Formats: sequence, structure tokens, C-alpha cells
Amino acid sequence: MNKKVSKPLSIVMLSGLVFTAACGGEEEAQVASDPSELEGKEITVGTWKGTDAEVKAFDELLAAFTEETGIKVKKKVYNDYQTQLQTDLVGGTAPDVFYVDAFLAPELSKQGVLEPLDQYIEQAEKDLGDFYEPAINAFKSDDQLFGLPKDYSTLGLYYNKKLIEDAGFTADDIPTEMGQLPEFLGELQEKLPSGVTPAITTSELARHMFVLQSGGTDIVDENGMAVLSQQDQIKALQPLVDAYQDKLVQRPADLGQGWAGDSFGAEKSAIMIEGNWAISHIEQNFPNVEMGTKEVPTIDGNSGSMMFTVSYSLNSDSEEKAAGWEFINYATSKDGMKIWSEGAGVLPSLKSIAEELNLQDDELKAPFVAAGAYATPWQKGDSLSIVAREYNNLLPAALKGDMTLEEAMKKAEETANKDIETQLK
Amino acid sequence: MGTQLEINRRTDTASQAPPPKKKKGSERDRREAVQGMTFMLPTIIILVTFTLLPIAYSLFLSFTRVNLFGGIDFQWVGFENYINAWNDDRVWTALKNTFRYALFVVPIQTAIALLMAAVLNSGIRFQNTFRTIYFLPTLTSSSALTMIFMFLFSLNGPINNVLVSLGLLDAPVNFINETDFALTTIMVMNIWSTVPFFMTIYLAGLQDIPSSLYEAASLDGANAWQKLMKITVPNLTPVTNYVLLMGIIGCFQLFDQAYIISGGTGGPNNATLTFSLIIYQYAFKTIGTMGYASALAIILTIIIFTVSMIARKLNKEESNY
Repeated sequence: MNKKVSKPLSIVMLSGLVFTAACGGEEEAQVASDPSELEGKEITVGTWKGTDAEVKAFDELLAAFTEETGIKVKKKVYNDYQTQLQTDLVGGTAPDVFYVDAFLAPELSKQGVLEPLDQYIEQAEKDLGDFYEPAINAFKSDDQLFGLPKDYSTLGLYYNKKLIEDAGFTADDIPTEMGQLPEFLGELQEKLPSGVTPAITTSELARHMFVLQSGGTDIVDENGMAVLSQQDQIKALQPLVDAYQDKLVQRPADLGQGWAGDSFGAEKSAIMIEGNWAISHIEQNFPNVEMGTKEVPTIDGNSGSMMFTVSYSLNSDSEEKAAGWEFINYATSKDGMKIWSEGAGVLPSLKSIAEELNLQDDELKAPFVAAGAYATPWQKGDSLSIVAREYNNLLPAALKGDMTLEEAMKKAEETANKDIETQLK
Repeated sequence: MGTQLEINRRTDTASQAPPPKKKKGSERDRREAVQGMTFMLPTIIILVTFTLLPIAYSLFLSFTRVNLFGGIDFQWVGFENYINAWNDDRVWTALKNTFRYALFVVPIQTAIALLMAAVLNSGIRFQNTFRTIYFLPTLTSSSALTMIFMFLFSLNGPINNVLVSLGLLDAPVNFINETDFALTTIMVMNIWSTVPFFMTIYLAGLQDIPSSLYEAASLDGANAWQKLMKITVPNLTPVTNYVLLMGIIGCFQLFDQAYIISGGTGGPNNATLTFSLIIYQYAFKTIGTMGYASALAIILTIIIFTVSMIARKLNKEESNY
């Protein structure tokens, strides 16, 4: 038996070795030289598709960049970003510059596929002070910067004006402190038409991380191990579970919808906590819904929200690093940022552009812009994907009452840690 | 010793084609062999490149801790990945789910497919129209089917509406998001979408059963059920074997429905965590665990192989010959 196996195996091993040898070899850091030398070069930029407005704005951004620098840009659009990008990186066919979701940044930078940008930034004397700090920090690991944020999104509170007013309340009645929210939702529930739930939220770690950390305990410790079941975390999350069981808060799936934006748009709920991407979705698909927005209620007086941000990052394997950097530099400059955020309707990661576009006076967007200063970035080291997987898997069991919250979180923590221990250490 | 065999073989070939003339043939034989090889070469190349090499490569990866990014580096860890899998509760949960799923789906889909094929072969009216209609689900992509089923079974969907208005349910049931129902919903969906395919295979098998058997049975006074159980089912055993095998393999590889319903997490509370989903999670959702994913894939292969062999033994393919 042994003999039979060993031969094919050794052949495979050999081919593996050849493979390794062929792909090996370290590359030297290549720093931008005189920009005029780059004229006529071509780089590829990897993106995901996004909304129609985003596609249009991105094309405008590319055209402006080519006009400015003479560097041509080819787009590579991913449908299943995470899987395809990984395959491309492994196969050595990844674009020179690509979007990196902050969530993935630590895992990718740990693999050495992202070029640290610090040297380029220094060389170009780029001012980072204008960026929102949480957005920049999301792409830092080991004191190196692996990407510059192209925009960001935060969570805020949406309310349906008509439903709230018909129930005899005004927007000002919605509490600004999380602790008072359940009581208000209870009062609201009695006056809402049947079939309308007071509040709706997507129940996953990406939305709850700031709640779990509000008591001061991070969800991942310095060794990358999950911490989900500390007393202060359970205490912070318990009100949500209670409210869910009292039917004050529901998940979109409970109402038969794919995501909260649709439930809110279909007027199935009066209040929703969602990201600013829901604004354009509701305006486009549910034009009759009159909505207002507020900041997420404070927890014990402290403002909190989540920040989702995406960077332009440089492929460490790219042959056109200097040209790639020029693109990142331009896209995150005031000119580039303005074209992109104005056209796509997203929140710019530069404070000065947010001011220039008067977003702080924009009735709907203002609360989300304000959250840019204090929101918790959705990023927590390279073990976050496992922690989030187990949290999202087990929280529903607690919401349904199959387990207590503490049991569910203990199980999530244990399973995640076992997995992190065996797989990532 | 060999004579009987030789005679058999000779009669075999004689019945199909004139025996080649020995002396002159050798030159032609060789040319034919070369021709044959040339015809097969494209398939062989494709098979080796896209099937055999990847299998061999993943077998190799399953013994390593591998980082495929940048400069690939392997770390030989022997059976560590397999030992980790043995100690991994999630793997056992996935295995339990997958087994439960296969135990439920395979017998039911086989039985329904057989019954439908028998009915459609019995000479009822509009036979061909029915065949076409029943075959349509197989032609639809399974992710599209999942979306349709999610609509049908959703909280405000037609199934809940019908059940509630008939008074069978007090309140709509959330078939897709309740831990107790999620996997069952997928089972129903899968049975519905695979039955037509197996039915078509059974229909083909039914053409091979001589009608004289049924006539003789009718003369002896057998009813339709007796004919089904005593003639159709035993004569279809080889086809049933194929259907069982394909059914088992399909069940153990269940992925897309579970992925879409749970959004890739395998939740709620691991209810839809299948073996393929776990492999996908380690291969593509966490970076640097490709070796573990490969080990799980190899384990899945061994499980499917074993279960298929047991099913074949239980169905006693040889007993009919």
C-alpha cells in the first residue's frame, strides 16, 4: 500500500517544489521617480461594480487621471470580489491597484501582497491630516499603511416620518440614548398599524462591534483571540436580545426581506439602523417613503457607530508600482476625491471635500458624516473573519431564545478560538 | 482453462464485426490505435490538466500548511490537518447535517423518480407533454431555483399563505430562517429539482424491460402494484444503482442552496453547515487555510466513496445476473 502511494505523491511534491522555485524571489521597493517618465504607461485597477452612479463617477475619475498624468488605466471589474481577488493574487494576475475592503486589509497585508505606502507618501509629501482618522487607521498594521481610503460609510438611524407622525410622535421623540430606545419602541409598537415592526436591524457582528466594545472590552485581544462573552459585552448586547424577543426589533429576514433597506422601504418598520448606502437605495426604489436620519443613539453617553471603508491599495507584485502610486495619489487627492464622491454620492474620506460639498448641511447625510469622526472601523486583525463567522452563526440562536445570550457568545468564542488556534497560529 | 473464455470472446467479436485478418491486420491495428489515441488526446489532456492534476495537487496540499500568496511556501505537517479535522466540532456538525440530509433526500427522490417514471411510461395521455414539463426544473440553474424557493417559502410567500388560509397553520412559519426548518426547506427544494433528472434516467431504463413480462404477469392476474414491485423494480436495479450513486454524491456535495440561504455562514446555529460549505469557508473566506480545506476535501471524497460502495452492496447489483 505504502509503496503504491509514495510514487505519485513524490511526483506531486516535486512539481510543487518546481512551482515554488519558479514563483520565489523577493522584489525591491520601487519608489516614484519623475512623474513625466510615466506618461504612456498602462495600469490595471481592480474594482467591484457598485451602483450605476458609481460606475459613471469612476469612469470620470479615470478620464481625469489619464488627462492629468498621461497614464492609461484599464478596469478590471470583480463580481465576487473576495474570491476572485484571492485567485488573481495567487495566480499572479492581480491588477496593479485594487480596492481593499478594510475588513480584509490585515489578512492581505499579512500575506505580503499589499505594498506599504509609507515611503511613497513621504516621497510625494502627501498630507494625511485631511483624512478621517478612523478611515486611515483601518488600513494600518504594524505601523505601516497599506492603502488610502477612497470613501467610507457609517451607520445611522433612519425613521419613517409618516409612520412616526401617525403614531403621534415627532422625530425629536426618538431617544438619543440607547438605554431609552426600548421603552420608546414599546410605546411606538402600540400605536403602529399591525404588521409594522417598530425597528429593524441586520444582526451581524459588522453592525454590533461598536456595541460589544462600548464597555471597553475589544472583541479580539492582542493575540488575535476572540473575546465575545465578557460581562460588559453581554450587558451591552442583552437589551437588543430582549427587544428582539419583545418583537420591538426584528431582522429583515423575519419579515421576509433580503435586507433592512427593503423592509424599511416597504414600510414594514418605522425605524432602522443602517449604513448611508440605504439613502440612495430607498430614494431610487421607494420614492414615496419620506425618511429622516439621525445619529445612532449614544451608549452611556458615548457616541458610537461603525465605519466601513475601502482603500486603493498597491499590489506588491506590480511591475508598474510608480504609475500605480500616481493613480492612488490622484484618486485620493482633493480633485480626484471630489469627482468620485460627488458623482457616486458617497462620503468622501477627506474632511475638506466633505466641507466643500456641504455634506454637514445635507439633511439626510449629515448624521453619517458626523459619525466619521467617532465610528469604529470594521476591521480587527486577521482573525476577524472567523470571529464574525461564529458570531453571525450563533447570535440568531440567542435571539430566538434557543440559548441564553451568554451561552451563545461563549460557544461562539470557544469555537472561534479553537479555529484560530489550529488554523492561524 | 482459457479456451472457454477465448471462445466466448471470439463469439462476442464475431457478433459485432468480422474478425480482423491476423497478418495483414497488424499494420492496420497500429494505425487504428494511433488514430484512436489521437481522437482521445484532447480529452485526456483536458482531464489530466483540469481533473487529475488538481486532485493530486490537493492531495499534496492536504499534508501541508500552505500559503499560496506571493512566493508560495509549503510547510509539511504530515497528518496534522486530518487530526485537526477529527477534533473539529464544526466538521462533525457538518458531517451530521450532510448525513441527515442524504438519508432523507436520497431514498425519497429515488422513490418519487421511479414512481413518476412508471406512471409516465404506462401509456397515459399527453405522456410526452408531461415528460417535457417534468424535465424543465433540471434545466434551470440551481441558484435561480434557490431564489424562487426562498420566495415560495418566505414569510409572505405563497406556501405560508396557502397553509394559513387552509387553517393548517396559525401564523406564517419562517421556513428559511428558523433553525428547525432551514435544512428541511433545502431538502424539499433539492428533491423537487433533482427528481426530474432521475426520472428521465428511469424512463430510459424502463424501455429495456420486455413488455412480455408485464403481459405474462397480467395473465396471472397481477395488479399494477405487484407488477411495479415484482417486475419494474428488480429489472431496474442497475439503473437504481446509478441513481443512488448520483444522488448520494449530489447530496454530499450540497453547497449552493446552503450558501445562499445562510449567506455563507452555515447558520442559524450551524443548521445549514454542510461539508462543502466548510471547505469553501476555509479555502476562500479565511486566508492561509488552503491546506486544511484540501484535507477536508479529501475526507469528503473518502466518505462519498465509502457510502456509495455501501449503498451499492445493499442494493445487491450482482444478484440479478
